Amino acid sequence: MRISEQQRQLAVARLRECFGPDSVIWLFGSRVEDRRRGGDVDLYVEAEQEPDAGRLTAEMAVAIDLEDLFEGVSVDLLVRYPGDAERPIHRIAKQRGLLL
Amino acid sequence: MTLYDPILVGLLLEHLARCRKQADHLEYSLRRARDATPLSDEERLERYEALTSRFARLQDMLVAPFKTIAMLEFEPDKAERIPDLLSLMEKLAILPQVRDWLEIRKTRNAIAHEYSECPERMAELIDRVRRQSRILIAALGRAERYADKARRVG
Repeated sequence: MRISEQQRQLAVARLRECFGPDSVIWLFGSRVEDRRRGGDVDLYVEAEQEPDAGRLTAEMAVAIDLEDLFEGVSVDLLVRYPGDAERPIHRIAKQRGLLL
Repeated sequence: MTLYDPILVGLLLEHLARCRKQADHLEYSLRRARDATPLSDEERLERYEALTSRFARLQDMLVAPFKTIAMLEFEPDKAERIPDLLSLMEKLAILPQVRDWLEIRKTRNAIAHEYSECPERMAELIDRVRRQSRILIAALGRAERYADKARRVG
């Protein structure tokens, strides 16, 4: 996993602040693989609750904060909200990703 | 009093004239987006495409005058890195906040990825485009005032 322990903790805290304390978060994509270099940070979130702002606005605000945390690296958030059907991409993120 | 390089001022005015033209097209699309006339799906989509691409293009285009302003301010290094450039624009009060620019970039990126299958997200996206268009157009206005001052002083 190519994010630091401190980044992991801060990212999880920021995501849970927005999407609820019982939200579950996975890192997936290229950052899971130790041998690769660079790449975006892809995060999959199973949200516990709806954010205070609109979904899109909340996701973008959190992504900007996380990009600051990951020193300018682009952060892509994939969020599944309560009641949303599970899509193939959600399953892949969980199967191939790392639970944070 | 700062003396401004007249060649750079000329370049800045050219960049700003191009941006203003784009901003006028964006204003037109913003007015059309408020138009309540019933439209077919194709027509609505076409208006949406025009609005969002004009919005995205204006953000892209504003980088050139920002860079020229950095040169005029004797800060050429800041033209090299976008975060430094944005901080300088904030310092000169051309941009209200760097964060606004980052939020606009997120909207811009989402335009390419959000699909019309989720109407709530599309509505939110269009709302962001409308609000953030005002931020871009206001930043252009402030850059024009900067150029006007530079032209008179220089």
